[in-house]
Amino acid sequence: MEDIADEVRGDKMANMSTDAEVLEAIEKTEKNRNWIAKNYDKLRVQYEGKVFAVKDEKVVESSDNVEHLLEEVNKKGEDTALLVIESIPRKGVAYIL
Amino acid sequence: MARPLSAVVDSGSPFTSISTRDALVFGIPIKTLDKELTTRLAGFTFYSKSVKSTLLFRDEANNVVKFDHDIRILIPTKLDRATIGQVQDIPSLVGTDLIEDARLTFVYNPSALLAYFEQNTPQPTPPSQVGANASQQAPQRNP
Repeated sequence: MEDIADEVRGDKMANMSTDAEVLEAIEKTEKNRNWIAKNYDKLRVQYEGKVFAVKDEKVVESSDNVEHLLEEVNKKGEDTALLVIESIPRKGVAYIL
Repeated sequence: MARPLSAVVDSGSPFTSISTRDALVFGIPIKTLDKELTTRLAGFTFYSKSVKSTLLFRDEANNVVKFDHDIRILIPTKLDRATIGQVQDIPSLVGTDLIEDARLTFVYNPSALLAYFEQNTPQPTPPSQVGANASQQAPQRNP
């Protein structure tokens, strides 16, 4: 078992350590997730079968593939720690976990 | 490193795991990790790597509750873009390992739209039962 934290790229929240910082991050994420849930039907029309990134209750990037999405997001200089990255499966697909 | 993560509570999963998608978003180098265990999930086969982590939850009083727990990172058996695209919809999971190790109770009432964890707290033994074999622990909400 190993701690892989050192191998992970740094970002704004990489060194988040205080409870206040953790709670702020959770609150921001929750706001974006609630927005996704509220607008899911509209988002499905546009992003079915895709993965997309949400920041401040707005889709900032989308792609067919998460690796490509992350490349595009990084090109724009976005901090992935501030994004909610979600996907909508294709119609007719359901997962049994 | 700490960052928010959404996960599905899956009572059918013995492991708590980070999905391939979330691992990539976190910048975890899945292509160079050791592949310890073969794991099957949602019809796909993954390798997985166990890593130490601290999981932070927020309780109803807006306090941060921390659990140190080993979690598994799911790595597709093929690391080409097409395979990653196939598994990118699969979410991260909270499995029974965390629920047991952290002594949690998962309360799920879909008809009431309720789902939450309670942290089990050992009850003090009443004086009349001292010396008896009775040992019961009732789940309690966090204060």
